[in-house]
Amino acid sequence: MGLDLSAGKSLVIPLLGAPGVKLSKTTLRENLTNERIQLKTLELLIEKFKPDGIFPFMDLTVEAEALGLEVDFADNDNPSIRNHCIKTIENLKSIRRRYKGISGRMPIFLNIVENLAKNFSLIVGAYVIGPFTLVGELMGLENLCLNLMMKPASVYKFLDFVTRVIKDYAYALLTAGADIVIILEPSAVILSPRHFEEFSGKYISHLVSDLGTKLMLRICGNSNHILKQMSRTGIMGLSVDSPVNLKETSNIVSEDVILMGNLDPIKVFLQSNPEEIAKATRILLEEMKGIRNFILSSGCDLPINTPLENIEAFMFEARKPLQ
Amino acid sequence: MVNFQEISEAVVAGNAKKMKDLVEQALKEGMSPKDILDKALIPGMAIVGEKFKIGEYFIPEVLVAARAMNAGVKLIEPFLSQVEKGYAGKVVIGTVLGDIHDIGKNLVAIMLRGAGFQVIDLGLNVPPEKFVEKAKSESADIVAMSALLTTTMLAMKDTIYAIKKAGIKNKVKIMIGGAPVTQKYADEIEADGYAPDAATAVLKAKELLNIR
Repeated sequence: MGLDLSAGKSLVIPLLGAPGVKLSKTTLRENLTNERIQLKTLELLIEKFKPDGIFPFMDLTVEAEALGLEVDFADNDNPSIRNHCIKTIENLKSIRRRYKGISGRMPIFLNIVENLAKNFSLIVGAYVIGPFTLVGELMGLENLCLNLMMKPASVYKFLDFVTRVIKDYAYALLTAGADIVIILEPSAVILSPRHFEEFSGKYISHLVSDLGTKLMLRICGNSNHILKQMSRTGIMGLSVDSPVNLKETSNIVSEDVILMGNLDPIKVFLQSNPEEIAKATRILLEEMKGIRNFILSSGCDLPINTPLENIEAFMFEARKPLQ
Repeated sequence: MVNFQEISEAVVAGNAKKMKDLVEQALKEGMSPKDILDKALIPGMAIVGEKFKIGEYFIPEVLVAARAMNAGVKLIEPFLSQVEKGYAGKVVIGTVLGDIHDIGKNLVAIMLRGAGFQVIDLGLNVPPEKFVEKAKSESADIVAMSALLTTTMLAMKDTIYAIKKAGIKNKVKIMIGGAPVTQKYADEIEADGYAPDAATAVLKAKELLNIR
């Protein structure tokens, strides 16, 4: 099913995933490492909340793991890279030599996307990591920051390579049936607008020109200072976090750019009650009334402990007609 | 003759090599190490903090500045007595449980060391009991916690609870910081201090320990 925003009604696609472990009585680790279990959880989420679209579980370690880095899993916490050990050009050459395309847990996510696209008539999304964030996973973010200030040429080499890796994976996800691929580039939030363009935006533009129009870009946290630069990458849409004012963003970016967001995943989804979440949803919908290309969503991936009744209240309110 | 401003400018420019040359030269010329610290390095980093606050500098610029400052601190450190270092106090610092982001925490640690604090860095993903254990065994004056994520920020509350439960809340001051953290949150969870950036963290630490 394609992404169609022409009906005049906002699509509702919260970034579900982790809270679904309660429905399937599984752990986060099981969902991230077992295709069958994750599919079951996603099916239960679709059945319970009936969103307009679904994304697989968010996992920022998939690409680095596919490049040979070790990942630490916890039962119910996000996985992380054990050692950010690809620090030198020699290390880079070595992983580049060994790189053989789709590997590690990528096939799990590809099969999930393929399955969802085949069996459900809703928008199927997928995630890939962003180039700057992936280089940060390889060499450590602090190291990356120092290198981009002092040895930018070496950083370009890393970025060139990881962009190829991301492109291969994103291409495979699109081929498997993804309607949208969101590029997750959280680490780029620490960059100045100039550095964002130089060390992230430029490479995202390459992905857009190579892969076409189904790519969106997501940066967590306060990305207000780089919104213009993010939209200039040629990306189809932006998914932004709660510190960003979506209404104001709609004035900054071209009206063709889809805006996705952005109810606070912690204060609203995790910590409030159904009445409060309904109110927050209503306020956001009122604010965004009349704005084309708006997808109502959470500001970020929902925390694992998000009360299911809060997600229900969000969906219920989102489906009510606007006054 | 090297002057304080040149050294400060090397911090602001993040030029570690120039810093090394200038501080070596300044020491040769008889400049007091304590003055280099108080009148050049720390004010330089305060300018960096200000630039960060107003959105002129971002994390990469602050990191190279901190690295340059560190290069200067290393050169003068052997010449500073404990008294001259103004031994300010002992800080146990770490990124809270569930959070693996340590840039902000590392910056604060560098700045605190530069300002004469003894810093025990517990690293990242630090469970509440580890903070408590180290605060006790080191007789720390301050426990400083950092978090980058709104989800992991909640572990600060758990850590403060553990500190209270261990009966040492009145013996240590608790400082928190990190992108999602606010003064309001600090008040809510009964932290003694909050700082929005690394330079302010030093001022806050001094304020908490009544150091001028």
